[in-house]
Amino acid sequence: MDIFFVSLALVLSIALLIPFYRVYKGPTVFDRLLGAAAVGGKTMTIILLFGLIYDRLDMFIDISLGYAILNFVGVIAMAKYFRSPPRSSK
Amino acid sequence: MSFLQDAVAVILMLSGTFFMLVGSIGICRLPDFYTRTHAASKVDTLGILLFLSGLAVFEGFSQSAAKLLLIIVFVALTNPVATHALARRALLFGLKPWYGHKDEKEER
Amino acid sequence: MNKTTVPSSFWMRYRGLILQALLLTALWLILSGRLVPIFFLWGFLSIALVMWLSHKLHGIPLAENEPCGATRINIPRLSVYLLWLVGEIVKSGVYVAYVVLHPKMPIQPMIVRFTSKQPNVLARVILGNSITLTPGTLTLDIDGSRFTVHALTRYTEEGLVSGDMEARVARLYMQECNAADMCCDIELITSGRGRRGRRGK
Repeated sequence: MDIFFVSLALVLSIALLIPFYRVYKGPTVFDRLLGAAAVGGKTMTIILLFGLIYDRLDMFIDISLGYAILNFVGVIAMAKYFRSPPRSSK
Repeated sequence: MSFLQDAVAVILMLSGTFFMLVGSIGICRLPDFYTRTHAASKVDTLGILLFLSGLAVFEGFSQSAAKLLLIIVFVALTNPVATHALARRALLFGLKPWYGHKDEKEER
Repeated sequence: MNKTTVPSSFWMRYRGLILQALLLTALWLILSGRLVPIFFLWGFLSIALVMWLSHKLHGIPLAENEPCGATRINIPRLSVYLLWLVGEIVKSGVYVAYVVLHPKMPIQPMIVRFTSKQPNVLARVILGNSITLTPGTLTLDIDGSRFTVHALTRYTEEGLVSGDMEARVARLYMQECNAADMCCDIELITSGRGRRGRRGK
């Protein structure tokens, strides 16, 4: 079972690394934010998987819950931040 | 019983990982911001939900499973809201959607 | 539309408070996970504090002359609706995954604007969130009762405009309605230059 979890963590880390391409090369700032949010969601699951591997799931669940809340609040705050257009010329 | 539980958990976790992988590919592959938001909001949410429910099934009836249910409800409520906030801000920002490279023929 | 008067029964009047207390108690029990009297004492104190703090939030109206909780949601219908929504989440995830993995990527994105006759603000919020979760559509903006929705393909736009989900949301508030007249003033934007309008069905 441990082999299964470790291989699942490997696949998940690949899935976590792919959005970094979008974060690096997003045409707009929203693409970068979207990539960052996707990375956050996958990090949450990978934290839970590490908790399963190390047999400390009860502790890692709390960390993951905090991470989910921080991810949500961060995206909302960033979405609030980019209010004005880049060029004010209409 | 335990074998059945493990089998359901493994299937749920594998499908969750698959959907998260597809969500990542979609974020890179789709052509513009709004369509990428589709991939991030739907496929990623489904992947995370499946993965967490697989973990909850694997844990069985315990406090950890209850906390995992809490995380499931939280993610299902907040992930679409977060992507909606981003997309709305992009719309107010003036980001133009991509309408596809189609010629000027009138559909219907 | 049908503003219910203040219900007379005890359950209907204090339903929000009772449900909030029950949910907070469940949250405390899940997060603490210990059945020790001192934990119950702290839990009771924090639940009382949270309910006192959020008591003032009920007075703030969500929009002008529409106070929060003026119309009561129907809880059995809400649970059925949530079950239906879970199925929609699975369908939408599978559909968008199919679109992403398709080699030619058969998308034809468009923006749909329509007006939905929802009874109050909360129904609009539920509808917006549900639109995001159903296949191939994404709520971009809600202005009054005017929805701006990004649809991935023509097929998903047809499902949106048919008004099935709008009728489901409106039925949460004890309203009998048919799906045909739920959304009107439909306007499709399918290209960057001009906008092509389409009225009614």
